[in-house]
Amino acid sequence: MKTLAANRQEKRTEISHDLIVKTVRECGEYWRRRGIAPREIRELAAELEDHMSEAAKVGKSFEQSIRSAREWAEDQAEDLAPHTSVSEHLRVWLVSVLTIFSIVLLSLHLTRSNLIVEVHAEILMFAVILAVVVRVSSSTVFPFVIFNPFKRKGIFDYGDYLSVATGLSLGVMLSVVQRTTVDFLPTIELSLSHSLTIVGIAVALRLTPSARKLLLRIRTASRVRIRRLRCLDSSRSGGGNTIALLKTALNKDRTLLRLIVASNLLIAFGWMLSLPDPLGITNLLLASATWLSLSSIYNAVSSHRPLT
Amino acid sequence: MSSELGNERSARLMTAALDICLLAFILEKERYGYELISGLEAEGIRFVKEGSIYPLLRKMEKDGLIAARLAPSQDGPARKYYKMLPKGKEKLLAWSESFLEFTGKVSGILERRLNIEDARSESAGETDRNLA
Repeated sequence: MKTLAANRQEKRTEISHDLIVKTVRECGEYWRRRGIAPREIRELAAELEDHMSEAAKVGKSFEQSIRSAREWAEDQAEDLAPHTSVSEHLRVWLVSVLTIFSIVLLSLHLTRSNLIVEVHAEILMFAVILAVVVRVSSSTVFPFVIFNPFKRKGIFDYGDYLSVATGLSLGVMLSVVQRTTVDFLPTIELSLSHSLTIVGIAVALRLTPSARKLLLRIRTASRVRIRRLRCLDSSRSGGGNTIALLKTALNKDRTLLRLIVASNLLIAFGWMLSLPDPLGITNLLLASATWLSLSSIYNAVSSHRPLT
Repeated sequence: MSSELGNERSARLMTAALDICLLAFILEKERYGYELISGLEAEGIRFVKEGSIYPLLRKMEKDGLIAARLAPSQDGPARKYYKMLPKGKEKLLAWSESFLEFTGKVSGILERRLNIEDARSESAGETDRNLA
């Protein structure tokens, strides 16, 4: 019986330009989530890109050269400390909490001329779920999210995971709002299936030959632009010919997420307006929290810039 | 099986001596990461993990043994070149002396007690007898 190690040795994936770009992108994302400083990420990415390009020139396979993207990313990150301190994290959360409550207090003052906040268990649960979603979506808790073979094949993208997370958190929020009239789970299911439908459409588009042709045209255009910019880019801090392709991929993610966020927001506000007390404090609090959650998730996606 | 064990032992020995080898290559001239890997491979050293040299280079840079600079490349991304610093040269000499002294001692022990050719043929004979 062949061992796993023997199978790994036998597997020989040719190193293409596309594979280099995807590997650098995945590793860059992993390093960013580990909290490594952007300057160090740029150097690590340049090193990896150069290593793979040189290995390809001498005919080495992907497995001989780096074994696996995940292994490479973890090994290189081992001796590098995160640049964000605990106090920095706490500051971000503190600012977020204060922002929500400032909005709530202001709304209270304007609508009811009092400053009494009723904190329901559902609201606290929503805040906890929101915190977990944002934290998980920007950490290395699930490396499979970063080093995913389906993503490498171009079937899934970063935006997809976050879109589903957005749908889920919005579903919980809507459930809280509608708790008095509608069952809890169906609302989450509705919002989640709405997000999944959009992700499904995006995946289908990526797999359609005409859509693939369009993506290829974008990549070719990027390569032409890269050749022109190579001298400028490479004289900076490295990763020169990968930056433009990463930007293209990033824009694709953002478009999908914008679609999700916009449609979810429309549903959320439509739903809220249909309630008997649209300006109720719970709704205002939840609306503020929703905006904050969506912008947090959006920021998590927007900061997918390992090399820029 | 014995080859696998041999490879594993070689890898362990190599890990212990990798910093000396890298410094020796950088002493010759300024070099970049993959050039160091190719140089070591040309000397017959096979890596289990090619990427293992980069954290080591970063550590040596941090310790002030070598200096790094990014330079534009003709046919690819910017490349990080490493050059030797006086402290690195000192360390290389000190480490090399102790390493050569140690390997000399180990060689002495083996040479005085073990004739490798005889031991091999003896071992092969035993295997044949067991198979028969």
